[in-house]
Amino acid sequence: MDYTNSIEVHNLKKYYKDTKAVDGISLSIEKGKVTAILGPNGAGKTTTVETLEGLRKADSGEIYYFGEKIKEVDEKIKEKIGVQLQSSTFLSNLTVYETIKTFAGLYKKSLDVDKIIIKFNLEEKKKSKIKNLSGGQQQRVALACAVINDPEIVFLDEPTTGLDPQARRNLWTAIEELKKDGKTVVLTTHYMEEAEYLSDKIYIVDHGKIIAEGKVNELVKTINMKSVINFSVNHKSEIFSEYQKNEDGIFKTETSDIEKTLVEIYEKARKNDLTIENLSIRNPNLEDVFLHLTGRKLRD
Amino acid sequence: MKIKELFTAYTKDSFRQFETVFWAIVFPSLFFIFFVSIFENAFNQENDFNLKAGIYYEKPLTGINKMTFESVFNAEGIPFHFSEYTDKEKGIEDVKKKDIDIFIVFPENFDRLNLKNFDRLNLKFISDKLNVNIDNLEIYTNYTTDSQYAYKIFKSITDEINIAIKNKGELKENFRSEYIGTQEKEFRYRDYLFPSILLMGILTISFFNIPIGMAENIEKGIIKRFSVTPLRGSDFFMGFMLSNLLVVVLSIIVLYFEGYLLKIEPIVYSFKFLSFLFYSIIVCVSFGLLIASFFKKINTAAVFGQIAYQMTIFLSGFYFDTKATPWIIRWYVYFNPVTYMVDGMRNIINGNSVGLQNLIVPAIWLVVSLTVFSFSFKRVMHYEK
Repeated sequence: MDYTNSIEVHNLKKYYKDTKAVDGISLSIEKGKVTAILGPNGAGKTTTVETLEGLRKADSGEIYYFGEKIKEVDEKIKEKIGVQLQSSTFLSNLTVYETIKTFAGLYKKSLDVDKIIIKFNLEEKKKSKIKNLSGGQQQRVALACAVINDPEIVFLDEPTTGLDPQARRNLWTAIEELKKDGKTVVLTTHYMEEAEYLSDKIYIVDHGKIIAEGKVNELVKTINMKSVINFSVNHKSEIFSEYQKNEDGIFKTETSDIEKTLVEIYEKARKNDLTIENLSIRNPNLEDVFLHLTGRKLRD
Repeated sequence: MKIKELFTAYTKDSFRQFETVFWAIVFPSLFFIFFVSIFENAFNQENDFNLKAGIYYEKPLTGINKMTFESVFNAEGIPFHFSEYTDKEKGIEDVKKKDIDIFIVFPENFDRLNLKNFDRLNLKFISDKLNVNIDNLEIYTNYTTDSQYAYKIFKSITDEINIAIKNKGELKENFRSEYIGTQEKEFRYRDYLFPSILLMGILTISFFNIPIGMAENIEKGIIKRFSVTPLRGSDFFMGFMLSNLLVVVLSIIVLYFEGYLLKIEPIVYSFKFLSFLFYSIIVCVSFGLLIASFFKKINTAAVFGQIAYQMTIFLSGFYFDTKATPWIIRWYVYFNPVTYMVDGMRNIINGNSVGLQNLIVPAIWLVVSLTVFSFSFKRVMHYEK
């Protein structure tokens, strides 16, 4: 069956007593792309993906997998999806190899365990027990288990939460590899830089509802926010009196044309024989989009 | 195939945990050895009770007298080691020094006791004529407990001899004797303990490994992780349970091997005993599932498991007879199905048949446990509550 969206969700609802965990979410997960569901903790991201993974039952709404409407996520669908849960734990006394092999045995079709171990840079830890791995290594094992069945869709629920920057970068590289392999990736995260870096399309979720969707640049454009340039000069700072200056002597200017403004600043400095120091440019990002839409910061 | 994968994974995980190997396999076998070596010796002390007795004859015994006392001194099962003294003073000195527990001096005219037998033959005139008066036996003891025991035991022996002498000739020869009732087997603590230790090994797994393992699978999100694979809940359950049953089987094999070395009553290898053991395993495992139905957290499952385990073990007649316990406790004993399981096994070992209650009470528990678990199975196995 031909389909462009691996998953489509219409008006999905999941309520817990007085809490509307998911309140009418609709989304389309495009085949072969990385779709991020971004939102603060408790926004409903995990409930949404867990419903799509078959861990929770929706109160109402329609779910389409591979172009077909489904009543429940059955074994047939589970054969085609791979999941990395938010807090994955495995049997702690098994080795990395044994863990991945166990998961390989749960599917009708699976990839070669040794190849997957190499792909996720786990050769050195192949014989190490799970309990002896670092957080980043455990997440790589979780990712290896998620793709051992060569799935069409990979769900990654906050895969880098709790990891140090280096481990996070390593995992991003692994996720990029999945994208190159043509996998459809559904990523939930509350790190806006992660969503910006990895995703082709973003859904911003808050209070169980989608409040914005689109590509990163499209979303940023919607808030009409200017870029901010900060800099300082070595002396004669009165030359730049047209710009705002804070008590540390840093000048700040907002612009919608960065290139033009930078040329102006450097030209003025050159004419007055000044040196521009500590130059930084801050473009509007998803954090600003979220702030603009909700009045709160993403990590509040 | 999926069950095999999970069975393999859980088995490896279990056997790499010190707790599983120690508590389910090593501890019961150590416990068995310790208890047998400590308490069986205590039970056997009566047989090894060996008192030292010294004998001094002022004049050697003859005739029936000699035969009677020699048979006593050489009899098996008499808790005395007799040694004859040639010096009376030396014997008295040895009692004082506690080298011997009792010193018995047979007076010079003690041999006249032979003439007493004429009384039994209605030849009283002869004994009267001969004026059969016999000096007392002189018995020397010290103040040790063993010495006092020795005195009491020797006194009872002489009483027996007195009765025997008095009755001699009075019993007719054409009597008929027969044994009635069942012949009790010799009590051996190892045979008494063996069923308890078997059940202890099984209960360790059913009260700890199963509910705590299940709670761990829930709390750590392992079941949740498996739920997003094509694995069915029933496959997970089978894989998990089979790995636990393997631990049970290994625990039993180790105990049987130990029992073989300790020369346990061979009936434990009989189909009858093994069938009842299998039945007990099923019942005990169902307890684990019952606990797992109620406790989803590792800590609560561990605490409840520990309390239930201790109560079940100690109030089921594992190590001592619970019939003499206060009535409140006895109610728990009667309520406790393990009481009937251990009793059933002991019945078989003693050559008796398993009572109906040994089957019915555990069966009630089995049905209740499995019913409760089957109702809560979905809740236990599935992430969505």
